Amino acid sequence: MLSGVRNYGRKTSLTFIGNFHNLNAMKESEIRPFIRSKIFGKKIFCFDLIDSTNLKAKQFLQEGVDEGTVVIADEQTAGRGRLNRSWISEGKKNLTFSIIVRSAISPEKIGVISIYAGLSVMETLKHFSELQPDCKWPNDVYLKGKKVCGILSEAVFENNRLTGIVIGIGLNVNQINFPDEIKDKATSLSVALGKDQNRFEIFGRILNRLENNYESIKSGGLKYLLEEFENNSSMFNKEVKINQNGKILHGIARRLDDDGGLIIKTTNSEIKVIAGDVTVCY
Amino acid sequence: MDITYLKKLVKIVEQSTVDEIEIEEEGLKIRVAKNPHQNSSPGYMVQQPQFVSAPAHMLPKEDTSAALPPVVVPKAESNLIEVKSPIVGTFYRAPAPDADSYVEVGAVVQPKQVLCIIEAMKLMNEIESDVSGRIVKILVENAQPVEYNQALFLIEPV
Repeated sequence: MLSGVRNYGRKTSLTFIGNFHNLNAMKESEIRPFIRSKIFGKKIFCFDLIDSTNLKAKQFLQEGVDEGTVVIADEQTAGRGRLNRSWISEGKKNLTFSIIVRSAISPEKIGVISIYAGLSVMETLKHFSELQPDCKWPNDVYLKGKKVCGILSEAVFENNRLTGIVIGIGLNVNQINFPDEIKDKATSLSVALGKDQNRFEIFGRILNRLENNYESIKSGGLKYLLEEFENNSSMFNKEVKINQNGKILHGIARRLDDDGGLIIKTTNSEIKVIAGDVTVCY
Repeated sequence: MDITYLKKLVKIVEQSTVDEIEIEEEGLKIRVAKNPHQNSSPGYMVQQPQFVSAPAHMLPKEDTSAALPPVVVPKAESNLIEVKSPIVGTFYRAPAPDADSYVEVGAVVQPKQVLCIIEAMKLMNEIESDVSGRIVKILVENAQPVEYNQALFLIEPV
Protein backbone atom coordinates (compact mmCIF):
# COMPACT_ATOMS: atom_id res chain seq x y z
CA MET A 1 0.00 0.00 0.00
CA LEU A 2 1.37 3.35 -0.97
CA SER A 3 0.75 5.76 1.81
CA GLY A 4 2.84 8.71 0.74
CA VAL A 5 1.95 11.56 -1.53
CA ARG A 6 3.70 13.58 -4.13
CA ASN A 7 3.03 17.27 -4.10
CA TYR A 8 3.56 20.01 -6.62
CA GLY A 9 3.56 23.76 -6.36
CA ARG A 10 4.31 25.26 -3.00
CA LYS A 11 4.30 21.80 -1.43
CA THR A 12 7.64 20.44 -2.55
CA SER A 13 8.13 17.35 -0.42
CA LEU A 14 8.36 14.00 -2.19
CA THR A 15 7.44 11.10 0.04
CA PHE A 16 6.89 7.49 -0.86
CA ILE A 17 6.37 4.90 1.82
CA GLY A 18 5.53 1.26 1.28
CA ASN A 19 5.29 -0.83 -1.87
CA PHE A 20 6.28 0.84 -5.11
CA HIS A 21 3.71 -0.91 -7.24
CA ASN A 22 2.42 2.20 -8.89
CA LEU A 23 5.43 4.08 -10.13
CA ASN A 24 3.50 4.89 -13.31
CA ALA A 25 1.46 7.30 -11.20
CA MET A 26 -0.27 10.45 -12.28
CA LYS A 27 2.12 13.23 -13.25
CA GLU A 28 1.33 16.88 -13.69
CA SER A 29 3.41 16.88 -16.88
CA GLU A 30 0.85 14.50 -18.41
CA ILE A 31 -2.02 16.79 -17.51
CA ARG A 32 -0.60 20.26 -18.13
CA PRO A 33 -0.68 20.13 -21.98
CA PHE A 34 -4.47 19.83 -21.85
CA ILE A 35 -5.09 22.78 -19.56
CA ARG A 36 -6.32 25.82 -21.44
CA SER A 37 -8.14 27.56 -18.61
CA LYS A 38 -6.28 30.49 -17.05
CA ILE A 39 -7.25 30.37 -13.39
CA PHE A 40 -8.80 26.95 -12.91
CA GLY A 41 -5.95 24.46 -12.83
CA LYS A 42 -3.24 27.10 -12.69
CA LYS A 43 -2.09 25.17 -9.67
CA ILE A 44 -2.65 21.42 -9.60
CA PHE A 45 -1.76 19.07 -6.77
CA CYS A 46 -1.46 15.51 -8.04
CA PHE A 47 -1.74 12.49 -5.78
CA ASP A 48 -1.28 8.83 -6.56
CA LEU A 49 -3.39 7.80 -3.63
CA ILE A 50 -5.34 9.96 -1.24
CA ASP A 51 -8.16 9.53 1.25
CA SER A 52 -10.39 12.10 -0.44
CA THR A 53 -9.59 14.95 -2.82
CA ASN A 54 -12.30 17.01 -1.12
CA LEU A 55 -10.68 16.62 2.28
CA LYS A 56 -7.29 17.69 0.93
CA ALA A 57 -8.81 20.59 -1.01
CA LYS A 58 -10.62 21.80 2.13
CA GLN A 59 -7.31 21.74 3.96
CA PHE A 60 -5.68 23.76 1.18
CA LEU A 61 -8.61 26.16 1.17
CA GLN A 62 -8.15 26.84 4.87
CA GLU A 63 -4.44 27.34 4.27
CA GLY A 64 -5.30 30.09 1.80
CA VAL A 65 -4.45 28.65 -1.62
CA ASP A 66 -5.53 30.54 -4.72
CA GLU A 67 -8.94 30.22 -6.30
CA GLY A 68 -8.97 27.63 -9.05
CA THR A 69 -6.47 25.34 -7.32
CA VAL A 70 -7.18 21.70 -8.12
CA VAL A 71 -6.49 18.49 -6.22
CA ILE A 72 -6.56 15.42 -8.45
CA ALA A 73 -5.90 11.82 -7.49
CA ASP A 74 -5.44 8.54 -9.31
CA GLU A 75 -7.17 6.73 -6.52
CA GLN A 76 -9.15 7.59 -3.40
CA THR A 77 -9.38 5.36 -0.36
CA ALA A 78 -12.37 7.24 1.05
CA GLY A 79 -14.10 8.90 -1.88
CA ARG A 80 -17.42 10.19 -0.65
CA GLY A 81 -20.81 11.21 -1.88
CA ARG A 82 -23.73 12.90 -0.16
CA LEU A 83 -24.12 11.95 3.52
CA ASN A 84 -20.91 9.93 3.44
CA ARG A 85 -22.09 7.50 0.82
CA SER A 86 -18.95 6.05 -0.72
CA TRP A 87 -17.93 6.94 -4.27
CA ILE A 88 -16.61 3.81 -5.94
CA SER A 89 -14.03 4.45 -8.64
CA GLU A 90 -11.39 2.15 -10.08
CA GLY A 91 -7.86 3.53 -9.75
CA LYS A 92 -6.15 5.09 -12.78
CA LYS A 93 -9.24 4.73 -14.93
CA ASN A 94 -11.35 7.71 -14.06
CA LEU A 95 -11.22 11.32 -12.97
CA THR A 96 -11.55 12.21 -9.31
CA PHE A 97 -10.69 15.78 -8.51
CA SER A 98 -11.69 18.78 -6.43
CA ILE A 99 -11.52 22.44 -7.32
CA ILE A 100 -11.52 25.43 -5.00
CA VAL A 101 -13.68 28.49 -5.69
CA ARG A 102 -14.10 31.49 -3.48
CA SER A 103 -15.99 34.48 -4.66
CA ALA A 104 -18.72 34.18 -7.26
CA ILE A 105 -21.63 32.93 -5.15
CA SER A 106 -23.27 34.64 -2.20
CA PRO A 107 -24.25 32.44 0.75
CA GLU A 108 -27.94 33.05 -0.04
CA LYS A 109 -27.55 31.30 -3.39
CA ILE A 110 -24.81 28.86 -2.45
CA GLY A 111 -26.74 25.82 -3.68
CA VAL A 112 -26.36 27.12 -7.22
CA ILE A 113 -22.81 25.75 -7.11
CA SER A 114 -24.24 22.26 -7.53
CA ILE A 115 -26.22 23.27 -10.61
CA TYR A 116 -23.20 25.06 -12.06
CA ALA A 117 -20.86 22.09 -11.57
CA GLY A 118 -23.23 19.48 -12.95
CA LEU A 119 -24.10 21.63 -15.95
CA SER A 120 -20.41 22.27 -16.68
CA VAL A 121 -19.63 18.54 -16.82
CA MET A 122 -22.73 17.86 -18.88
CA GLU A 123 -21.76 20.57 -21.40
CA THR A 124 -18.25 19.13 -21.60
CA LEU A 125 -19.61 15.71 -22.48
CA LYS A 126 -21.57 17.26 -25.34
CA HIS A 127 -18.19 17.52 -27.05
CA PHE A 128 -18.74 13.87 -27.96
CA SER A 129 -21.38 14.04 -30.64
CA GLU A 130 -22.35 10.41 -30.02
CA LEU A 131 -23.41 11.16 -26.46
CA GLN A 132 -26.64 12.63 -25.22
CA PRO A 133 -25.79 13.57 -21.65
CA ASP A 134 -28.61 14.44 -19.29
CA CYS A 135 -28.69 16.39 -16.02
CA LYS A 136 -30.72 15.50 -12.98
CA TRP A 137 -31.28 18.11 -10.31
CA PRO A 138 -29.19 19.29 -8.74
CA ASN A 139 -25.93 17.95 -10.15
CA ASP A 140 -25.95 14.37 -11.39
CA VAL A 141 -24.97 13.62 -14.97
CA TYR A 142 -26.40 10.62 -16.77
CA LEU A 143 -25.81 8.74 -20.01
CA LYS A 144 -28.73 6.61 -21.20
CA GLY A 145 -30.24 6.57 -17.73
CA LYS A 146 -27.04 5.55 -15.95
CA LYS A 147 -24.95 7.80 -13.75
CA VAL A 148 -21.59 8.78 -15.22
CA CYS A 149 -20.65 11.64 -12.91
CA GLY A 150 -21.23 12.44 -9.26
CA ILE A 151 -20.51 15.74 -7.59
CA LEU A 152 -20.12 16.58 -3.92
CA SER A 153 -19.55 20.20 -3.03
CA GLU A 154 -18.55 21.35 0.42
CA ALA A 155 -18.50 24.89 1.76
CA VAL A 156 -16.13 26.17 4.39
CA PHE A 157 -17.36 28.87 6.75
CA GLU A 158 -15.23 30.65 9.31
CA ASN A 159 -16.97 32.85 11.87
CA ASN A 160 -20.13 32.48 9.82
CA ARG A 161 -18.43 33.94 6.77
CA LEU A 162 -18.02 31.93 3.61
CA THR A 163 -14.33 31.20 3.06
CA GLY A 164 -14.79 29.17 -0.08
CA ILE A 165 -16.24 26.09 -1.67
CA VAL A 166 -14.68 22.81 -2.70
CA ILE A 167 -16.34 21.15 -5.68
CA GLY A 168 -15.56 17.44 -5.83
CA ILE A 169 -16.15 15.75 -9.19
CA GLY A 170 -16.00 12.06 -9.95
CA LEU A 171 -16.34 11.19 -13.64
CA ASN A 172 -16.22 7.59 -14.84
CA VAL A 173 -14.03 7.62 -17.93
CA ASN A 174 -12.41 4.27 -18.73
CA GLN A 175 -13.89 1.96 -16.11
CA ILE A 176 -15.59 -1.03 -17.73
CA ASN A 177 -16.45 -3.26 -14.80
CA PHE A 178 -18.51 -2.00 -11.90
CA PRO A 179 -19.25 -3.71 -8.61
CA ASP A 180 -22.52 -5.63 -8.46
CA GLU A 181 -24.23 -3.07 -6.26
CA ILE A 182 -23.89 -0.30 -8.87
CA LYS A 183 -23.47 -2.12 -12.19
CA ASP A 184 -27.08 -1.47 -13.20
CA LYS A 185 -26.88 2.21 -12.26
CA ALA A 186 -23.39 3.32 -13.32
CA THR A 187 -21.68 3.79 -16.65
CA SER A 188 -18.56 5.39 -18.09
CA LEU A 189 -17.54 7.27 -21.20
CA SER A 190 -15.65 4.20 -22.37
CA VAL A 191 -18.74 2.03 -22.06
CA ALA A 192 -20.88 4.61 -23.85
CA LEU A 193 -18.38 5.31 -26.63
CA GLY A 194 -16.98 1.82 -27.10
CA LYS A 195 -13.34 2.77 -26.59
CA ASP A 196 -11.02 4.26 -24.00
CA GLN A 197 -10.67 8.02 -23.75
CA ASN A 198 -7.81 10.30 -22.75
CA ARG A 199 -8.99 11.22 -19.27
CA PHE A 200 -6.60 14.15 -18.95
CA GLU A 201 -7.87 15.72 -22.15
CA ILE A 202 -11.39 15.48 -20.73
CA PHE A 203 -10.15 16.91 -17.45
CA GLY A 204 -8.77 19.94 -19.31
CA ARG A 205 -12.07 20.42 -21.10
CA ILE A 206 -14.04 20.26 -17.85
CA LEU A 207 -11.80 22.86 -16.22
CA ASN A 208 -12.20 25.11 -19.22
CA ARG A 209 -15.99 24.83 -19.09
CA LEU A 210 -16.05 25.32 -15.32
CA GLU A 211 -13.98 28.48 -15.71
CA ASN A 212 -16.13 29.89 -18.53
CA ASN A 213 -19.34 29.28 -16.61
CA TYR A 214 -17.80 30.69 -13.44
CA GLU A 215 -16.89 33.88 -15.26
CA SER A 216 -20.42 33.98 -16.59
CA ILE A 217 -21.86 33.80 -13.05
CA LYS A 218 -19.49 36.53 -11.85
CA SER A 219 -20.62 38.81 -14.63
CA GLY A 220 -24.30 38.36 -13.82
CA GLY A 221 -25.13 35.37 -15.97
CA LEU A 222 -26.61 33.15 -13.28
CA LYS A 223 -30.09 33.27 -14.77
CA TYR A 224 -28.73 32.13 -18.13
CA LEU A 225 -26.94 29.23 -16.42
CA LEU A 226 -30.13 28.10 -14.69
CA GLU A 227 -31.99 28.25 -18.02
CA GLU A 228 -29.26 26.17 -19.60
CA PHE A 229 -29.76 23.53 -16.93
CA GLU A 230 -33.50 23.49 -17.56
CA ASN A 231 -32.92 23.20 -21.31
CA ASN A 232 -30.46 20.33 -20.91
CA SER A 233 -32.34 18.23 -18.41
CA SER A 234 -35.04 15.78 -19.44
CA MET A 235 -36.66 15.83 -16.00
CA PHE A 236 -38.72 18.98 -16.47
CA ASN A 237 -42.43 18.61 -17.07
CA LYS A 238 -42.13 15.00 -15.93
CA GLU A 239 -43.41 13.43 -12.75
CA VAL A 240 -40.72 13.22 -10.10
CA LYS A 241 -40.46 11.54 -6.72
CA ILE A 242 -38.37 13.26 -4.09
CA ASN A 243 -37.17 11.35 -1.07
CA GLN A 244 -36.34 13.68 1.82
CA ASN A 245 -34.98 11.33 4.48
CA GLY A 246 -37.95 9.02 4.13
CA LYS A 247 -40.54 11.72 3.48
CA ILE A 248 -41.73 11.28 -0.09
CA LEU A 249 -42.93 14.13 -2.29
CA HIS A 250 -44.58 13.63 -5.67
CA GLY A 251 -45.07 16.29 -8.29
CA ILE A 252 -44.25 17.58 -11.74
CA ALA A 253 -40.83 19.21 -12.08
CA ARG A 254 -41.60 22.71 -13.34
CA ARG A 255 -38.52 24.91 -13.25
CA LEU A 256 -35.62 26.17 -11.18
CA ASP A 257 -35.99 29.04 -8.76
CA ASP A 258 -33.45 31.86 -9.00
CA ASP A 259 -31.39 30.24 -6.24
CA GLY A 260 -31.38 26.86 -7.97
CA GLY A 261 -34.17 25.30 -5.90
CA LEU A 262 -36.43 22.88 -7.77
CA ILE A 263 -40.03 23.99 -8.15
CA ILE A 264 -42.45 21.10 -8.37
CA LYS A 265 -46.20 21.22 -8.85
CA THR A 266 -48.06 18.95 -6.52
CA THR A 267 -51.78 18.27 -6.54
CA ASN A 268 -52.56 21.43 -4.64
CA SER A 269 -49.71 23.85 -5.03
CA GLU A 270 -46.18 24.60 -6.13
CA ILE A 271 -43.41 23.59 -3.74
CA LYS A 272 -39.78 24.60 -3.74
CA VAL A 273 -37.40 21.72 -3.02
CA ILE A 274 -33.88 22.34 -1.76
CA ALA A 275 -32.92 18.84 -0.63
CA GLY A 276 -33.64 15.23 -1.38
CA ASP A 277 -32.98 12.42 -3.81
CA VAL A 278 -34.91 12.89 -7.03
CA THR A 279 -36.23 10.02 -9.11
CA VAL A 280 -37.78 10.78 -12.48
CA CYS A 281 -40.88 8.65 -13.10
CA TYR A 282 -40.60 7.86 -16.82
CA MET B 1 -42.95 21.00 37.84
CA ASP B 2 -42.19 18.26 40.35
CA ILE B 3 -42.24 19.71 43.91
CA THR B 4 -39.57 17.21 44.95
CA TYR B 5 -37.34 18.61 42.26
CA LEU B 6 -37.88 22.13 43.62
CA LYS B 7 -37.10 20.99 47.17
CA LYS B 8 -33.87 19.48 45.97
CA LEU B 9 -32.90 22.75 44.31
CA VAL B 10 -33.56 24.64 47.54
CA LYS B 11 -31.53 22.10 49.49
CA ILE B 12 -28.62 22.42 47.07
CA VAL B 13 -28.51 26.18 47.56
CA GLU B 14 -28.91 25.89 51.36
CA GLN B 15 -26.08 23.41 51.71
CA SER B 16 -23.64 25.05 49.33
CA THR B 17 -21.66 28.25 49.21
CA VAL B 18 -23.68 29.21 46.18
CA ASP B 19 -26.05 32.12 46.77
CA GLU B 20 -28.33 31.55 43.84
CA ILE B 21 -29.05 29.21 40.98
CA GLU B 22 -31.21 29.87 38.00
CA ILE B 23 -32.48 27.24 35.60
CA GLU B 24 -34.43 27.77 32.44
CA GLU B 25 -35.92 24.94 30.47
CA GLU B 26 -38.53 25.07 27.75
CA GLY B 27 -39.75 28.50 28.71
CA LEU B 28 -39.93 27.76 32.45
CA LYS B 29 -37.46 29.71 34.54
CA ILE B 30 -36.69 28.83 38.16
CA ARG B 31 -34.47 30.91 40.41
CA VAL B 32 -33.56 29.82 43.91
CA ALA B 33 -31.66 32.47 45.91
CA LYS B 34 -30.55 32.81 49.53
CA ASN B 35 -30.84 36.57 49.33
CA PRO B 36 -33.17 37.70 46.59
CA HIS B 37 -32.33 41.37 47.11
CA GLN B 38 -28.89 40.77 45.70
CA ASN B 39 -30.47 40.03 42.35
CA SER B 40 -30.78 43.63 41.41
CA SER B 41 -27.18 44.38 42.16
CA PRO B 42 -25.34 45.04 38.89
CA GLY B 43 -22.16 43.57 40.33
CA TYR B 44 -23.77 40.39 41.54
CA MET B 45 -23.01 38.15 38.58
CA VAL B 46 -19.41 39.26 38.52
CA GLN B 47 -18.95 38.31 42.16
CA GLN B 48 -20.51 34.87 41.74
CA PRO B 49 -18.18 31.93 41.99
CA GLN B 50 -17.46 30.15 38.72
CA PHE B 51 -19.68 27.08 38.69
CA VAL B 52 -19.20 23.87 36.92
CA SER B 53 -22.16 23.69 34.62
CA ALA B 54 -24.24 21.07 32.91
CA PRO B 55 -27.65 21.18 31.22
CA ALA B 56 -30.60 21.61 33.56
CA HIS B 57 -32.55 18.63 32.31
CA MET B 58 -29.63 16.31 33.10
CA LEU B 59 -30.45 16.62 36.79
CA PRO B 60 -31.57 13.19 37.98
CA LYS B 61 -34.91 13.55 39.74
CA GLU B 62 -34.64 10.61 42.08
CA ASP B 63 -31.14 11.12 43.44
CA THR B 64 -30.45 12.66 46.81
CA SER B 65 -28.97 16.10 46.67
CA ALA B 66 -25.67 14.80 47.96
CA ALA B 67 -25.38 12.52 44.98
CA LEU B 68 -26.34 15.12 42.41
CA PRO B 69 -23.80 15.92 39.74
CA PRO B 70 -22.54 19.47 39.36
CA VAL B 71 -25.49 21.79 39.06
CA VAL B 72 -26.36 23.38 35.81
CA VAL B 73 -26.19 27.08 36.07
CA PRO B 74 -26.54 29.04 32.91
CA LYS B 75 -25.08 32.23 34.38
CA ALA B 76 -27.47 34.36 32.43
CA GLU B 77 -29.29 33.85 29.19
CA SER B 78 -27.24 36.57 27.54
CA ASN B 79 -24.05 34.65 28.26
CA LEU B 80 -25.12 31.79 26.03
CA ILE B 81 -23.79 31.89 22.52
CA GLU B 82 -26.07 31.04 19.64
CA VAL B 83 -24.64 29.11 16.72
CA LYS B 84 -26.63 30.18 13.68
CA SER B 85 -27.09 28.70 10.24
CA PRO B 86 -25.21 30.69 7.59
CA ILE B 87 -27.48 29.37 4.85
CA VAL B 88 -30.92 27.97 4.07
CA GLY B 89 -30.81 24.18 4.05
CA THR B 90 -31.37 20.91 5.90
CA PHE B 91 -29.88 20.34 9.34
CA TYR B 92 -28.01 17.10 10.02
CA ARG B 93 -26.58 16.18 13.39
CA ALA B 94 -24.38 13.39 12.02
CA PRO B 95 -22.17 12.94 8.96
CA ALA B 96 -24.28 9.96 7.82
CA PRO B 97 -27.69 8.54 8.77
CA ASP B 98 -26.15 5.62 10.68
CA ALA B 99 -23.29 7.58 12.25
CA ASP B 100 -23.02 9.05 15.73
CA SER B 101 -24.03 12.68 16.18
CA TYR B 102 -21.25 15.21 16.08
CA VAL B 103 -22.26 16.54 19.51
CA GLU B 104 -24.78 15.87 22.25
CA VAL B 105 -26.22 18.19 24.89
CA GLY B 106 -23.67 18.54 27.66
CA ALA B 107 -20.66 17.97 25.40
CA VAL B 108 -17.75 20.36 25.71
CA VAL B 109 -16.67 21.61 22.31
CA GLN B 110 -13.60 23.42 21.07
CA PRO B 111 -13.16 26.06 18.37
CA LYS B 112 -13.13 24.49 14.89
CA GLN B 113 -14.99 21.43 16.14
CA VAL B 114 -17.76 20.39 13.76
CA LEU B 115 -21.22 20.66 15.31
CA CYS B 116 -23.50 19.74 12.41
CA ILE B 117 -23.98 19.80 8.67
CA ILE B 118 -26.34 22.04 6.75
CA GLU B 119 -27.09 20.75 3.27
CA ALA B 120 -28.29 22.97 0.47
CA MET B 121 -28.85 21.16 -2.81
CA LYS B 122 -26.11 18.60 -2.26
CA LEU B 123 -23.72 21.28 -1.09
CA MET B 124 -22.64 20.20 2.35
CA ASN B 125 -21.64 22.79 4.92
CA GLU B 126 -19.93 21.68 8.10
CA ILE B 127 -20.78 24.17 10.82
CA GLU B 128 -17.99 24.59 13.34
CA SER B 129 -17.95 26.04 16.80
CA ASP B 130 -16.21 29.39 17.12
CA VAL B 131 -15.77 29.05 20.87
CA SER B 132 -14.83 26.69 23.66
CA GLY B 133 -17.97 25.81 25.54
CA ARG B 134 -20.60 23.36 26.57
CA ILE B 135 -23.61 22.51 24.42
CA VAL B 136 -26.60 23.63 26.47
CA LYS B 137 -29.32 23.06 23.93
CA ILE B 138 -29.77 21.74 20.39
CA LEU B 139 -32.56 23.81 18.92
CA VAL B 140 -33.35 21.89 15.72
CA GLU B 141 -34.38 18.29 15.14
CA ASN B 142 -32.27 16.17 12.81
CA ALA B 143 -33.08 16.38 9.08
CA GLN B 144 -35.30 19.44 9.52
CA PRO B 145 -35.15 22.49 7.25
CA VAL B 146 -33.48 25.61 8.64
CA GLU B 147 -33.59 29.21 7.57
CA TYR B 148 -30.76 31.67 7.10
CA ASN B 149 -29.52 32.89 10.48
CA GLN B 150 -31.70 30.44 12.42
CA ALA B 151 -30.22 29.50 15.80
CA LEU B 152 -29.05 25.88 15.87
CA PHE B 153 -27.24 25.46 19.18
CA LEU B 154 -26.87 27.27 22.49
CA ILE B 155 -23.33 27.10 23.85
CA GLU B 156 -22.21 28.23 27.27
CA PRO B 157 -18.61 29.44 27.10
CA VAL B 158 -16.21 27.69 29.44
